[in-house]
This record gives sequence, structure tokens and C-alpha cells, in this order.
Amino acid sequence: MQYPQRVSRRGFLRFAGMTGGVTLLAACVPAGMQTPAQAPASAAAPKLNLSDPKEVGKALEAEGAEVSISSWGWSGLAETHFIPKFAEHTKKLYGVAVKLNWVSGVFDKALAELPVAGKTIKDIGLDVVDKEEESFDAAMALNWYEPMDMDVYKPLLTNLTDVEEPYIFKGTEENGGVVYGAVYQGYEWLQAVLRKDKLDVSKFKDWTDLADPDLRGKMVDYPFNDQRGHYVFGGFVNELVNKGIVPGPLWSQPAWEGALKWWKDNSMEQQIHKWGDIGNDPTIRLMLQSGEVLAGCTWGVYTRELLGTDWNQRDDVLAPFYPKSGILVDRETMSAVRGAAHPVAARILINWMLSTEVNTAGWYKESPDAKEAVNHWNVTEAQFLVAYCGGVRAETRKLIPDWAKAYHPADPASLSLKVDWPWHNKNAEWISKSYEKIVLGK
Amino acid sequence: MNISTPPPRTWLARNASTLLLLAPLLIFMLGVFAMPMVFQFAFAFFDRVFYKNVIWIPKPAFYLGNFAEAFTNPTYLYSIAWTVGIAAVTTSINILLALPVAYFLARTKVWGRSLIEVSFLLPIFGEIFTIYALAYALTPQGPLNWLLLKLHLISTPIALVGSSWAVIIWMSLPTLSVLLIRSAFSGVDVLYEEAAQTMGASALQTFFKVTVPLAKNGIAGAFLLSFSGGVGAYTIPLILVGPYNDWLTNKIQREVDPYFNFPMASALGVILTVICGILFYFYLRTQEPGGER
Repeated sequence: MQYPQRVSRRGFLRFAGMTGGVTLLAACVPAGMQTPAQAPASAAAPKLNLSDPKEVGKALEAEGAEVSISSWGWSGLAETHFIPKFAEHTKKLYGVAVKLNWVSGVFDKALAELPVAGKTIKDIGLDVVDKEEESFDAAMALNWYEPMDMDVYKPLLTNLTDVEEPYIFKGTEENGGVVYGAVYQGYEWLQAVLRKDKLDVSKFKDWTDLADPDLRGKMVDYPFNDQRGHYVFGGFVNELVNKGIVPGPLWSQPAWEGALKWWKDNSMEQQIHKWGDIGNDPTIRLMLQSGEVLAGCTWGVYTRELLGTDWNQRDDVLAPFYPKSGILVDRETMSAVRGAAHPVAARILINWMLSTEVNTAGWYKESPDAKEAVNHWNVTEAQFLVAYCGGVRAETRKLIPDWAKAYHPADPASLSLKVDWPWHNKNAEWISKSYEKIVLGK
Repeated sequence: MNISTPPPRTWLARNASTLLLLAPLLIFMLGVFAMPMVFQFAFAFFDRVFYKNVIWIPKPAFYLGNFAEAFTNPTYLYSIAWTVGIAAVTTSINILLALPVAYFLARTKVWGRSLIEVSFLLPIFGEIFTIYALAYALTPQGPLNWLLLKLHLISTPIALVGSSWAVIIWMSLPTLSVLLIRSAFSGVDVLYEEAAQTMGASALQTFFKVTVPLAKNGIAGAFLLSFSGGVGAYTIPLILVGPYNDWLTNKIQREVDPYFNFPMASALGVILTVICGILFYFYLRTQEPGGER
């Protein structure tokens, strides 16, 4: 018997033709993707009496005493503190230790890929989503969230009632609930941290001062194909609009185009030592510590955490940079996943995240009049600083340790700039590509 | 005695054992390669919609706009040309550098030959580690700039990291190609070379007119493998150049995140695949002299 030894060119072309045919056929077949997959709308709320802790305990056991949240890293606090503390919390209140599954870094990927795969966020096993408000509209458009405060769950959300209005995102009423998102930390924004021992920080009053020659090749920033890079740059755009250097309003293409030209004309690319995330990348943190980098644009929580690190406590070399024209806020927002497997545990988790205990990483005063705050969770100052972000309830602000107050600007609200999310959603791709075109000439 | 001829066996009966042996791999390839590839190809013809004015979602359609965009938008066109061009240049350098070493390894019996051969694989074992080592070596404070400064060949350090040169240097490095070509040279009978030289051919003439043509299948295979790796390089440009490099793979990633443009990403992926397919077609030509046309 003779076997053909090799694939012939004709055979290859035949195979390629067949593959192409199958591909075209697959492309033509409607895949039922005219609209992305959505969770069933407004399922009837379960009939539970969640005012009674014993009933809550039973409900938790029926759910499997488990809950999953997609959140951020909290500089390691999630593993060391949140998971065991949440189990203690539910055990104490309801007699059931609920296992908290902490998932980081999946949401953006989920947002990009699940609609394509015809799935929703509940299909990857999440009960609660904690994500910056930048993604809230997209998740709502995909119908991924349900009101956390449906009538049946209201007894579990004791902390939600006194969350200040700007931190609550409401939507269509379902089963008595309207709250689809709740900011739980406070005024989280994108500012910068400077090495005050190597720079004359009095020169740095506003964003465009970062063009100073002393910072040539000494800055770290998020790249322009990253939303965080957009929000840092948004501070520059706002200042340039305010000064009349570029046409306004802030949320318009001419303003961003003008600001990108300013970025290029002022050789801001040369300021960048490395594009990256000083908040989460230890090698970049080391660059700041060693003095290889003198300025890092990052979240407020990471700025404060860096200020509270042991090496800065010892050397006192870092200073926060609060540009006077304002800073764009992008606040951590919690939502209950529609159709999730653990809805009761999800509400308990949301309520806990809104508590003073979590907001302060367990370091708080027992009462506003108390002299000293008690470090219940035995955290470091840096860990406290990465958790506390101004709070969303008046009570919390009164209970933080006195030493921590110096780490926050006197009036964050006066510096906070609101992002026009619909405009940004529509123009995010345009901003990234305009940067490549205008600044990099590609 | 009546001897009856057994009934002819069916095709299935004749090939059952072969199919059984092939089945695990075929099923695996079908599941993890062929099916996703078909979907990726199909996505390339999808359109996308800005769903509820918030998020981009792929929309099934037979839409050629992604390919039109790829071949008319100068950014994509440049990226395609850059990726293919750099892969072609670095592969050529890679093969040229590999040829003499491979010939040496095939024809001489030096002590530690196996060790030398394995050493060519070291850069691709734990590639990330090696790339970071290279990234350090090429920094302004790194050993390469130190050496060039000490030799007075340059007066100020050259910024190699962050530029495409670092990637070009890395991709030109012969690794697996040395071993592939060495095997091809080992398969060439020394008698042919001796015959050529007895007839007056010089060593170089023998090498280029006898050895290389006889080993061309292996050399072409090494070229194909190297080129495919070159056009598909993702991590290397990302680490050595940064997020705004021109390699098509990185452009594809940017289309997915943050632009959510799966159809465009798929179309660019299809173009890369077709480029490799064309090369594979030419590779087959080298494999079948006088064969089916």
C-alpha cells in the first residue's frame, strides 16, 4: 500500500479552499447575537423573612454559605483580612460562616468577552461586582445588575440607608428596589505622588507643571490605551480648557485634540520613564523608592498607601500632588449581580463593605468622642490608607483615626471633577487612537 | 482442500488501528484549534454595533469592512508591512547566522557538541526570563552600552530598550533553526561533498552548490518556523518596545482591549494566518521537486 508522503500544493489549496468555505458559511450563519445575552429580567423575588437573623442563617445555608465578588487587590488586604473577617461577621450575626471568594482582575475581560460568548456576568459565578464607575453604564446596558435593595433584601442593607446621595446610582424600580450601584469608599480619583526630596514641590501646582524639565524621563503614568491614562490626562485637558489654551468644553473632541497637541508640543513623552501602574507593580514602586522615578500618576488610595509605607515613614520623601484645577474621580462601585446564585449573601457582603469597619480596615474610634481609634484588625498605617477614601457615610468620617486626617486634602469635593461617562464611553477608542495619531504620528 | 480467499476488508477495517492512534490528537486539535479558528475566521466578517450607546458588541453579518479597513487605513497597513518585513529580515539573518554553526555541528565531532546544541535552546526555555535579561543588557546603564562606551565606539549610551532594535536583535538570534538545519545537514551524505571537491569545487562552492541545495527542505522548514514565530511575536515587542509598538499582534490585542473590536482583531488575525499560509504554500514547493503540480 502506498501512502502519500507529503501534502501536495494542490492538496493544500484544496484544504485552504474548504477552510475558507466553512469560514464564510460560519460568518453568514446568524449566531443569535443580534443583541448580547441578558439575564432574565426581573425574576420574582424570593419569599424570605430576612428581618429574622435565624431566617437569614437558614437562607445563607440554603445558598451554600458562599459568596463571590469581583474586586480589586486592596494591596493584599482581601486575602489577609477581608475573607476571614467576613466569615467572622456572618458567623456572629447569623450563625453561619460565609466563605468569601475574592476574584481580582476579571471584570474588564468579562466585559469584553462575555457578550461575545453570549454569556452574562452571573455565568462566571459572581454575586457582587465591585468596579470603578467607568464600567457601570456598560454593565447596566447589558442588564448584568439587579437592584440590591429589593423589598425582600432591605432588612439586610442597614448601612445603605445613610449612604450619601451622590454615592448611590438608581435605576428602574424592580420588586421595590431602585439602587443598582453604591459607591463604598468615597472620592477615589487619579492624582499623582512626587519625590519631595528631589523636586521643588512648590513648583508643582497644577497638571501642566508636570512638564517641568526636572521631571524629564522621571515620570510614570498609565498609557493612553488604558482608561486610567485617559482620566489622568483628563486633568490636563481640564486645566488647558480652563486656561483657554485649548477650546472647550472639557468633554469635547476639540478639547482633547488640542490637549494632545499640547502634550506633543511640550515633549511630554520625554517626561515618561515608563508607562505602567505604580499602584500594583512592585518594580515601579521600587523605582520611586530608589529615585529612578520622581513622579507617579496613580489612584488616590495608592498615593496614600505609598505615603504610609515604612520606607516613606522613615525617609519622608513623598508628597501628594493635588492639582488645583481638579482631579477626575472614578469611584469604586458595588452592584448585585442579576440572577446570582447567592443573593442573600451578596446583600450581606454589600452592607458589610459599606460599614465603617471595612471602610477603615478595622481602625476606627468606638464613638466620635473617643480619644483614640482602636486598630481592631491590626493593620499597618499603609493598609488603612489604601482602604479609607473619605467614606460615603457621615458616621464613618467621624470615626477615623486622627493621624489619618492629614493624608487627605481639606476639601476633596472642591477638587473632584466628574467624568461625562456617556461622552467617554463613546470616545474612549477615539482618544487612544488620536494619541497614536497626534502624539506618536502613527 | 478447498482454500477460499478471505472477503476484502472494508476501508474502516483496514484503517481502524491508524484511526484509533490518530483519534486523541485529532479530537484535541479539533476542539482546541480548529473550532476556535473557525469562530475567529467567522468573527472577521462580523460588523460591530455601539450597543445602547455604551459598549461595542460584535454583530453577525457578512461584512468585508474590517478587511477593507485593514488594507486602506495607513496604520494597519504599516503594521502589516512592518510585522512581515521585520519577520522576513530577522528570519533571514537568523538563518544566515545558523547555517555555518549548523554545518560545523553536523560535520565535526567536538567535545561537548550536545551541550552546544542544547545551549541554542536556552533562550527559548523560559523566554520571559531571557527577554528581561536582554532588556537589562540593553539599558543605557547595561553591559552593552558600557562595553561600547569603553571601546569608544559611542560617546553617549544608545537607547535600545524602547526602540524596535532590541526586538530585531532578539528575533535575529538563531535558536531552534540551528538544530533543524543541523539535522538537515547531517542527512546530506558526505560523499556528495567529496565528489564535488574531487571535481575541483572549492569548499564554499561545495557548501552553496551541493550541501545547501541538498539540505534545502530542512532550511526551508527552519525558515518557516522562524518566520511564523516572527510574525506571531507578541510578548517580546510588548516588553522590549512598550505598549505602542507596531507589531500586528499587539495591534490585535489593542483592538480587543480596550476597543472591544473583536471583528477587527479577528480580521487582522486572519491576515496574519493567510500570510503564514502563503509562506506554507511556498514551503511545500520546496518539499516536492517534480511532484504534483
